[in-house]
Amino acid sequence: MKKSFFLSQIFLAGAGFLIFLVLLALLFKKVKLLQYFDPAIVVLLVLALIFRMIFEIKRKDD
Amino acid sequence: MKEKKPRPTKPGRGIFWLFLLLLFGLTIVVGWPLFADFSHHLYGAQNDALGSLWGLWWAKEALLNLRQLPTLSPYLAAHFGVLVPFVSPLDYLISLPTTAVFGPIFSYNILVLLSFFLSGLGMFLIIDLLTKNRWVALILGLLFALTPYHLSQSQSFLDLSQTQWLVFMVYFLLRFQKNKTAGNLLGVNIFLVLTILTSHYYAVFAAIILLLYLILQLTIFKEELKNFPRARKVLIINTLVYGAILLLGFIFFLFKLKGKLPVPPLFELQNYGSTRSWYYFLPAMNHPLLGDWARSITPGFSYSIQSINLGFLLVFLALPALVIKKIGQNHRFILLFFFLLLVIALLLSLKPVLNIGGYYLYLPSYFFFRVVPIIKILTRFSFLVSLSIFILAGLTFAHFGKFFSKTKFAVLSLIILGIGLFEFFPSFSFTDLAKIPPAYQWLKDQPPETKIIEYPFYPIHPWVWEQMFYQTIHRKITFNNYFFQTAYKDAPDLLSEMENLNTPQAAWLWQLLGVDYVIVQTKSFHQDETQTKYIQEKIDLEKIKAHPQLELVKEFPESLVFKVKNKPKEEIFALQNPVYLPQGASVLKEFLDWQEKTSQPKAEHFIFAKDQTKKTVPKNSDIFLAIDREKMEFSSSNSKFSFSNQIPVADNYEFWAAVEGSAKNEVYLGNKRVEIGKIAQGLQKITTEYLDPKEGKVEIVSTENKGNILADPSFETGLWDEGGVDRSPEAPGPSQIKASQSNDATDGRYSAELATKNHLVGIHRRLPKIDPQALYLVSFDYKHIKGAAPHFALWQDGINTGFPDEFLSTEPGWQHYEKLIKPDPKATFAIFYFFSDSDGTRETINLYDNVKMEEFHLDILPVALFRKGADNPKPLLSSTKISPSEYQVRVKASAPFFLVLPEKFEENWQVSLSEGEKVSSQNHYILDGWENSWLIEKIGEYELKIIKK
Repeated sequence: MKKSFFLSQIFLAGAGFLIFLVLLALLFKKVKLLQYFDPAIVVLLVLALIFRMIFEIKRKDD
Repeated sequence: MKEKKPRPTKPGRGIFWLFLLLLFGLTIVVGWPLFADFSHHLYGAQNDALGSLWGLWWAKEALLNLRQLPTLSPYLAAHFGVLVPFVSPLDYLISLPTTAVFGPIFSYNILVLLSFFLSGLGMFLIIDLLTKNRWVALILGLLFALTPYHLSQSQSFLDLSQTQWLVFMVYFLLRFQKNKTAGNLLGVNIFLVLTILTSHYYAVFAAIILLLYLILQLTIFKEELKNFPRARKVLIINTLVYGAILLLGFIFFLFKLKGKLPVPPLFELQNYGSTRSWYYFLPAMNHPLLGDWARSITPGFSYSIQSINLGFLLVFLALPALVIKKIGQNHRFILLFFFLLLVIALLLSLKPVLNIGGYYLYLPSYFFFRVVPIIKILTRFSFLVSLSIFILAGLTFAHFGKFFSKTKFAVLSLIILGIGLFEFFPSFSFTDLAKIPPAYQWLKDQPPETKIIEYPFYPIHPWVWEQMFYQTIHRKITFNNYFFQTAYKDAPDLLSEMENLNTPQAAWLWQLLGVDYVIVQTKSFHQDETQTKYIQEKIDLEKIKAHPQLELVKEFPESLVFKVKNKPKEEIFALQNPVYLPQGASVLKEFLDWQEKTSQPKAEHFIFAKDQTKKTVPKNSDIFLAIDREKMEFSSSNSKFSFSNQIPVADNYEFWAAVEGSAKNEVYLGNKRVEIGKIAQGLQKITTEYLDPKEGKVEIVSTENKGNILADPSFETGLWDEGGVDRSPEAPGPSQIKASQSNDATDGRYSAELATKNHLVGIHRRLPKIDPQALYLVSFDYKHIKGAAPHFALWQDGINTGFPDEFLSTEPGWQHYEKLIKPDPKATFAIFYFFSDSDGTRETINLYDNVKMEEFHLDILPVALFRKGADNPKPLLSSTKISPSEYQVRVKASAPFFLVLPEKFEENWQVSLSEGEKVSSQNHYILDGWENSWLIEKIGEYELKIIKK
């Protein structure tokens, strides 16, 4: 249970870091890099959501 | 014992009043330019908003003056009327009184400004409910009113500016989540209804929110429901069912509409209608300080659609709410709910298909669009993303508040408000509509039954809104603006026939339709390259001023007003393809049905029969249309159709008609096929083929064919451009294009194969100097293998414009393409292009082969129109052009015929027979509304002269 919450946190932290990178890419106008942001943020957020759901469902069972 | 709930403490109330004051002030700031003249200064930009003004006006006009439902308006697309899609009936209804008293602009401004106030208030209530921290609620409430999404939508779209009802629905849903009372649920339902009546986008958003809520409540959080008494549960279920019925009804309505509204193709959705996740972090393009920078990153960025900045600050406040365990414990449901909503809305807003190194990733937005195509701007899901971010940020913000002293927290709040305001810095535009163009001012004073048509024509274009707005001033029925769905499906085709006002069919249709005034805009009033080009192409002022059916009555600095002349003398009409059947004549059951259903005036109905004849009979057969006031029957010269009703009916335009099948090449190149039927009053009724209705009739005097002027037309020695040229290098991703020779060929051993997975691949060949006096027959074979349709273009150098790109058939197997092209007189040479397109969602392969461009030389000379048949051989004409005002014609005729001079009708043109005998001016007819035509009754061999006096 705790593991899934922890994993969710990790992925969210990853998303936060990505957003920080986006800020940098925008500042330096590296538009070509930005196209890889879509799949990356989608994967991270969906994984974070899935682990959060697992956490919530399991917590209810406890 | 019933205990009263504790009221908010005084300081809390103080903050609430302070918030209302600040929000009011903010609303005034947002709308400050309007207050100088609230009834003439419009909040927002001059585009779709003008359409909403027309809608507000029309709703008032229909309900209060005409006492009819506003769903069908006879003011536009005259004779047919338009079905007005009232997507936002609530706005139109609640603003009726203000529209009636102060006009539509006043109502519009009030509605938009109110949305700022109410949206901010809604967010304040939500955050206050969840955190009990009114400072946090105050700051987020103020910022929420100013989100770039809200600002950008309210610049153009009345319905989408009304975000408040959805926010209030969420507020009551969250109240219900905390305290499951019937009152809270009633609140949800009331605001659900208001949302549905405001915008179909927000209605779909509401459906998603409620569905998500139900799923969570009935699965992970079902324990919560067990604590409530049975009666309450029944009520809850009843109310939910009621909500579901409403939603289902609405979704049904969406599906009904699905076929009627234009649905954009997927590539449009990919490029314009959806977002990239990093757009969420880009400042709005009209940000006073960061706008230029934002524009430099995304050139071509559309402000009204893609300004969706969430604010870095808010995002970084929202993420901790999901990470910090303590917040999770206190707000378990809220966190999961808004996290889910955030991810779902983000996924639905993104570009539907991601191309990752040649592999396609289909996102939920792709499937969602397939099911609910009416949500065609997926970017608008950003509103739900923003809503979730605000609520999550509110939770973190309030959580941090516990660790600070009051003073420090106040300072922190101010800093956050400052940064937030900087990120969302509002910048607004407004439009001064007080000055009415003089032509519309003049029109306003004309009799109410006056009917107008405006040029240039905007068949489907945002700028129809401007013409529609000025209709609220001049209040005259117009033939323009078939932009909405008309009651008759072929009406837009008919309008396209009138698009070029110099063509004979346009003049004929004006008379037929009863147009009083033709208004021609002379300024290139929209600073848009494509539009300016469009106007220049379609309008030649000198030609219009000399138009035989138009009389210039008013000349304004930016527009000319022409009166449509009554017919000066009897006219005859050579039927072309298409055929118009006026005066209640009707060929289609469908049309008759429509006549019965609608309350439109019957007297001036006409029909566009082209498509129907195409559907009913095989190509190239002769179709005769017998017209009767009551009924209409098809007949044909082949045995499939019998000729049953031969009664010609009275008035002006009844006739026997003969329609040829679609024009083929041999018709263009000399074998002109001509049909004659008989009509009442003993006149001959004629049909003929045109080279091109816009060019007029031509007689070919020399068919000198220089043969194919293209070198290596079959790609035998290689491709025109080895490997192909990337024609869209700006498209995302590394280019994956390929052009090669293929063994699948129709001519020689090879054809050109153009393949692409993302960018536009093209091959081209520059042609030798082209002769503007000549005609060119362009032909080639093509084969569609997969992906997007084959596609070619011809660019004309010298005038730097092309014949419009043509997208070809995607039918399997080799196809043949043929077209006769007349180059622009100023063109010097041309470039021939073949393409394959891909929007990055699928691979496209097309083959091309056997390319020909043949040159022909033609001249315009008098021609004969005659009745075809064994007893009526073609009159032989041998014409010589002596000077621009004199033609000599040697005639050999065994029956009367019509002599046609394809020049503008003028009384001064006269025909003299051999012995000086003149053809009576009574036999001089206007053919097809523009050209000269004489009935020549003399039989035998003789010579005649056509002279302009």
